[in-house]
Amino acid sequence: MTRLVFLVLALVIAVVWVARAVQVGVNRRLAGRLAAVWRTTGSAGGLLHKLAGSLRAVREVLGEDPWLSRLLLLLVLDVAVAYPVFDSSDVRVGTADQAEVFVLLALGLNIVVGFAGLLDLGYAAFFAIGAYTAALLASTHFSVGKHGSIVSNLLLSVGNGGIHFNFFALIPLAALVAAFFGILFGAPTLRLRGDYLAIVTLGFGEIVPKVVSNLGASNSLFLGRGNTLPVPNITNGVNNIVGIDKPPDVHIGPIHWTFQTNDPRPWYFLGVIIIVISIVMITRLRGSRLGRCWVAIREDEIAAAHAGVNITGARLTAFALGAAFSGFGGLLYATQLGTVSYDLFTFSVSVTILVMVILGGIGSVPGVIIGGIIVSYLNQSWLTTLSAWLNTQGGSFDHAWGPIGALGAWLHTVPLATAKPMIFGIILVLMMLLRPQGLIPERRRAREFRPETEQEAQEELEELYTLRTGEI
Amino acid sequence: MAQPPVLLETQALTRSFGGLTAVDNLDFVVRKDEIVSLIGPNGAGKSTVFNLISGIYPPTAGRILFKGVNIAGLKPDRVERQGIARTFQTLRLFANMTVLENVLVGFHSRLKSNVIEDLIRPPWVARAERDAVEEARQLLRMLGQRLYTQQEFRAADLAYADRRLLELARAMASQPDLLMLDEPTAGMNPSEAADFMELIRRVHDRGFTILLIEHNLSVVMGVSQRITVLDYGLKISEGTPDEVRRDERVIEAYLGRKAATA
Repeated sequence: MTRLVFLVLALVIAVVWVARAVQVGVNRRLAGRLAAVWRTTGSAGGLLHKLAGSLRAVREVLGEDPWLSRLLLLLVLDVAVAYPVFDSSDVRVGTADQAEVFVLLALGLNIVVGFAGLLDLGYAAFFAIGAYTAALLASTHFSVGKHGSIVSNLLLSVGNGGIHFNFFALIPLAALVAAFFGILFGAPTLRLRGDYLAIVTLGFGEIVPKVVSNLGASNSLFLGRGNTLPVPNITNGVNNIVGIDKPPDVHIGPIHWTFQTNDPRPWYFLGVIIIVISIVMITRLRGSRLGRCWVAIREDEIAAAHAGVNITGARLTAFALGAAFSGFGGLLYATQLGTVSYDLFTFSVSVTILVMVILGGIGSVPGVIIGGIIVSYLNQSWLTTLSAWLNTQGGSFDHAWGPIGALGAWLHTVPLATAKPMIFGIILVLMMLLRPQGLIPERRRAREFRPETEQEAQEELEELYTLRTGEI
Repeated sequence: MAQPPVLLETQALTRSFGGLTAVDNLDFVVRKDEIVSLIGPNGAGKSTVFNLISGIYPPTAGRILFKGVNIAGLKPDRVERQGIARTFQTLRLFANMTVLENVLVGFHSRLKSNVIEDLIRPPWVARAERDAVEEARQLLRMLGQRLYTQQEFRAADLAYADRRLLELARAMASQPDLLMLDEPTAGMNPSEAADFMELIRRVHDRGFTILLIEHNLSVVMGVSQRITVLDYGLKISEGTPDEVRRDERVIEAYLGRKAATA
């Protein structure tokens, strides 16, 4: 029944879309453009260029009519919402649940890296803060008082059974706490430029998990002269915090979500809602006064300052907003898993999120969503599947003659899933060499990466020179 | 006739870079509704004066009073919010933004919105933004039909003279009390420069007080009410264009001692 609704909806959207395309004559223009792209550009090895050219043609032609893009978005949304209804595998839908968390994180990091142009190598720190906010404020961890509950209402209950915020109250709370830490970390560091900022953020990315792992009762603070101060058990140290509350059940009209069972579908729908709201806010942000400031700062810091833009303030806001969105991600992640531990938020997580942004296209909202999905699936399932397949294939000829047998033996044991850092490294290098603007580039960013004329390249060099020497 | 109130006043303004004193004990005044020019040979310290006022670096000594408040040492964005906007000798446009977007950045301090409003864009913010776009278009139209028709072009794709105009538009967008133009006619031929000066007169007629840097004396003769001449960081002359033109020290600075005595 539900499936039928989604199918009919998709069909209706598709029909309306085609009708609209024919009405405004887009199909003919697009066909012409595509034919031109495939006829002209490159011959040998030009397939990549042809694909890129086609993508550009499709985007440009579809961009001519706002309704075509809107309908397309609606179709994508319909498919996205319908996916877990059609896929009966709980494992696969569970994978999608986690992919949603990472899409949220990629969207958040994109504000910092893509919009504001600040390289943040410690983004997982904010992810951790979001997750731990959920873990501490919605679990049995903090027991208050001795007898029963002190406060108990719809939003919050406090007592010897721990502090329990309602999940929906935690959404703004996690964002606020993460944003607060974004400002705390950003304020002293954002005066730094480029490489230096990257190094400091790298430091914070290391510090946060370390602090979390040391704020357990088994530790003490060394005060010198043999004096120590016992550390209160805030984060349970190297031990996990377990039993994080699930969101309350939701019953609205035909919707019945319960988060208490192992069914991953309600999580999926909840994730879609949070992501859609995030996308709406982030696109508005990009077109806002603040979004314009970030572009201006990236283009020419001094000119932006003279137009009245408070540069440190604008950067700090980017940091705080990026952190806030990772707060959503952390909250969703912690409640989904039901447990958090400090080693879930290591440097490799920061890098993974950065790879999502770079692969998809720095600054491009659809790009980082695609990047987030691809990298997340690679991380969780594709690499394992590929590894298993290669192992079986290798096993079938590992007794063959000489080098072929050696290859087979190697394939039989090659552990692709544990070689993730290397594979993501290769992806980064390849993207930088072949398509630095990402899979679905943002228009302005694409130009920044690829100066169109000799003169522009020259101007960019001069710009770099004046930045270094501080000349005006 | 009572003189209009003082808008900007520097008192013993000094800036040294290492052993070099680029600006030395400079006193000068800009009154409301004036066009004042700061002229001098290359390296006289004119741009340094601008950079001191607009806050790129703080003065070594001295005060800069704007509307009676000392603004010396304030950061550029704070200076801008006090009501001073400027252009640069070497153009500083946002090359990859459109012409219209460049002007909209100039509206920054006039558009008020907080982070939450930027995220959800409530109707009143959307309306303010639409009004700003409309006003930006009118500003472009006032500065020339060509700029107006090219408003969706990338700034980097404009012709040189149009880029100068665009920088002027961006500075005007904030409706500053004082508009500082740093060699706006640099790189223009004499006829373009004359056109630009005519435009500056029109901008002035719309109620802008203008402080102009020029190293070419003849360009500013026609438009300036008062001129201050700098050489090696020192004020060597001050007065109406006619007074300055006859001043021997000015002729000497520009043409050398022989010409002055000849």
